[in-house]
Amino acid sequence: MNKHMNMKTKILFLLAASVLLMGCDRDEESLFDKSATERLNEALSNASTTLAGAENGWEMLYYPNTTSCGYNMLLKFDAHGSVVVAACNELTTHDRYVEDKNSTWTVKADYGPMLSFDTYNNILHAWADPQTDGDGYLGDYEFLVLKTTQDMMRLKGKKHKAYTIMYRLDNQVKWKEYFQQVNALRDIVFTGNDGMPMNIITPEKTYEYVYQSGILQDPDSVEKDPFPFIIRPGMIQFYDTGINGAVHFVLNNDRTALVCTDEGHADVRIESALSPVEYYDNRLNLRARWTYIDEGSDSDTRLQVANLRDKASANGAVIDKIAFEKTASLNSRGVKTYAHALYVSFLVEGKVFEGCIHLNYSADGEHITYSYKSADASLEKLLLRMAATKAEGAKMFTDIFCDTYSASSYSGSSLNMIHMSLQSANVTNKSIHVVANTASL
Amino acid sequence: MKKVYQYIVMGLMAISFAACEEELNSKSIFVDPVQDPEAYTKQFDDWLKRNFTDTYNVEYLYKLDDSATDPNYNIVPVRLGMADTVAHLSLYLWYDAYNTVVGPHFLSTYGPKMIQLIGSSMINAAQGTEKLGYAEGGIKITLMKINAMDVNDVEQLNHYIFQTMHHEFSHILHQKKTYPKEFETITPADYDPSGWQYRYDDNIADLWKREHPAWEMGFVTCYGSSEAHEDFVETIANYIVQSDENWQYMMDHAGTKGAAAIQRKLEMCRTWLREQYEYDLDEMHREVQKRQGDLDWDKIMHLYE
Repeated sequence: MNKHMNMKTKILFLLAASVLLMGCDRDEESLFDKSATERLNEALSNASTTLAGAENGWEMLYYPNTTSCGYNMLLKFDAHGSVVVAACNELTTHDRYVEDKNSTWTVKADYGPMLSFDTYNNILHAWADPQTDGDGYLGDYEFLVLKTTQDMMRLKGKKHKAYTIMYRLDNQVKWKEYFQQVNALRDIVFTGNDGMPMNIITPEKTYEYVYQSGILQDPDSVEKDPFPFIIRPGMIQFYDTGINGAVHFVLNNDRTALVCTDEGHADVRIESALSPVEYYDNRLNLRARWTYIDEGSDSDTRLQVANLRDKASANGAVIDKIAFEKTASLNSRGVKTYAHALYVSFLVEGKVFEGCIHLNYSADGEHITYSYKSADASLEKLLLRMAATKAEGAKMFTDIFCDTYSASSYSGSSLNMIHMSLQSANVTNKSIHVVANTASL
Repeated sequence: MKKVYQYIVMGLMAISFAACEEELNSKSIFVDPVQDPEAYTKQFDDWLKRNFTDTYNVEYLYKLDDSATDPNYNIVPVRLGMADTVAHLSLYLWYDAYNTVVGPHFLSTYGPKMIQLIGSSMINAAQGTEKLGYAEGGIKITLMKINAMDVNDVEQLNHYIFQTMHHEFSHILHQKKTYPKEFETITPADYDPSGWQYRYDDNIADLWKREHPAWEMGFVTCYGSSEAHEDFVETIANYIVQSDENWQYMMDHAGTKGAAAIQRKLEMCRTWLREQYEYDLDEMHREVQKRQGDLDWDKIMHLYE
C-alpha cells in the first residue's frame, strides 16, 4: 500500500514538474516580429497616412446599413484633420452637387483601426442623423478599417455593420464630372425605372427580379436575397460579394444588357424581362398614362400637334396633356371593365378640365395599334370649340395619334423604357415620344 | 520520501513563478497625442484649453466618440461652428454666472469634469421621448440636440442647453449632498416615470406654456413629474432660467393646490442650496436673467481670449 502511494506521488511529481517546466518555456517563437501594441499603432498610422496621401481624395461606396441601397461620396482627407465630403443624390442633396469642407476625421484604436468622422459633416452625417423617428437612414460615421492598400480601403460600419469600400481617385478625375458621369449612366438605365422587371441571367438559370430604388429585389416576396448596388462612372457595382461573386457590370454597346466584367463571371448579365411592347402594355395595366412629349417626337408630328393646339387656343381653350391610358370602371353588375382611351386635359378661362376619346387597342409581339372608337361627353367642351361635331373634333386628334406603331426605348436602352418612341409603321415621318407617368400609378 | 517530493514540487513551483515573471513593456498601448501645430482645430483646441481646462479643470468634448455614449441610440456629432458658439455661451451664461454668485472656486470644486456635446438628441420613438442631456456620476454632463438649436432664441437656448446644464449640475450637487427627504412627500402620488411624457399639452407650441398640465399637479415641468430627484433639479433649473414673467404665468395657471406645492418645493430648494452650498438661488436667478437679457454676440464672442 505504502509502495503504491509512493508510486502515485512520484507520478504526480513528474507530471507537475513537466507541466511547470513547459509553462516556463520562454523560447516560444512569436508569430509576429512586433508586439500587438506596435502592430496596432502601425495599422493606425498606415490607415491615416494612406487616407491623407490620396492627392485627389477617395471615392466612397457607402451603404448606410445592410438593407439599404448605396450612395457615392467623394472625400478628401487633409493630413491635419479636416475632410471635404461631396455628393450628388436625390435624398440628401436634392440632386445637386454639394460639398462640405468644415468637419474633422481621425483614425483611432477600437477593435483595430477605426476611421471616425467626429464632427458633423452635412453630407456624410445626413445618413446617420436620427431625424425625428430616432433612426433616420440608420447610417454609420464610425468605420472599422478591415483592409488598407494604397488604392483601396475596406470598411465596416461600427453600429449598423454595412461594408463600405473606398477607392483612391485618379488625380485627373474632376469631382463634379464624376457625379455627371454617374448621373449619365443613371439616366440611361435607372431614372424613373422603379418597378422595372429585370432578369439576372446566369448560364445555369434566369432569376426574375424587379429594379426598385437602387436595389434588385425579389418581385414576389423576400425569398431571394436583394442585390443593392451603386452606380459608378461607366459601371455599376453590387454590394459586397454581389450576385454570387459577380460584382461589376457595364452597359453593353447596344444598351440591351448590363454585363459582368469580373473574371469567371463574364456570362452573367442583367436584361429587361419585357419586350418594348410588353412593357408598354405592362405600364398601362399598372394605370400609368403614356403622355405625349413634343421634344424627341418627329418634327412632322410636332407640327401636327402644334396645329391642333393652335386650333384649340384660337377658340378659347388651352390643351395641356395628351396621353394614352387604360381606364377601369365597374359596370351595372359590379364587374370591372377596361377601356383604352386618349386622355386630354385642357384649360378654359383658367379652369382645368379633362376628358377622353375612346380608342380600340391591340398589341402583338411587334406592334401596338390604336383606332377611333367614340368621343366622350367629358371632352365635349373642347371638341365642340374645335369642330362642328364631337366626332369631327375627335377625328382631329385621332388622325394624329391613332396608328400602328412599333415601340422602342427612347433612351436607347431596353433596360429603361420609361420613355418610349412610338414609330408609325405606315408613315416614315411620324414618331411620337411618350413617357409613362408613374405619378398616376 | 513523500515529503521530500512535496518540497521539491513546491520548490519547482516557486522557481517556475519566478521564471515567469516578465518585465513590463514600457511602451504604452496608447500613442502619445503629438500636438500637430497645424491641426485644423488647433486654434479652437488651444482656446478651450485656456478657458475650460486650465480655468475650470474641465474637458470640453466636442469631437464625438460614439463608444462614450449609449449604443442603443442613433446620434450624430456636433457641428464645429455650434461647438464654438456653445462654448462661448457656456462661459457667459453659466460659468461666469456661478463665478459671480457663488465665487470662482465653486465650479472648479463641484463643477463637471467633462462637458460632452452631441449634435442630435437621443430619441426613443417607442416611448415618444427624447433625451436632451444627462449627467454621469457627478463628473460628466452631456448636452444634446445642439445642431438643431437657434442660438438667437433664448427660449430654445434654455430649453436645449442651459436649463439642461443647470438641471444636470443640480444632479451633481445632490449626488454629493442628499436633498431633504421631505421633498418627496409634497406630491408623492403623481410621479410617473413611464407616463410623464403624455402630460404635455400638445396643442400648445410654446415650450413653457405646454407644461401647464404639470403645473396643476404641483410640478414645474412634465419631466419633473417623472421622479422626485428629477422634480428637485427641474425646480432649481427652471427657477434660474425662466423669466419672472414666465414663473408668474406658471404660478397664475397652476391653481391653488399646484401653486402651493411648487412654492413649497422652491422654498425647500432655496434653503437646501443656501445651507449646503452657501448658494443664493434668487441671486443666481437675477444674474442669469441679466445675462440672458443681454445676449450681445459680438461682445460674447470676443469676451474670452
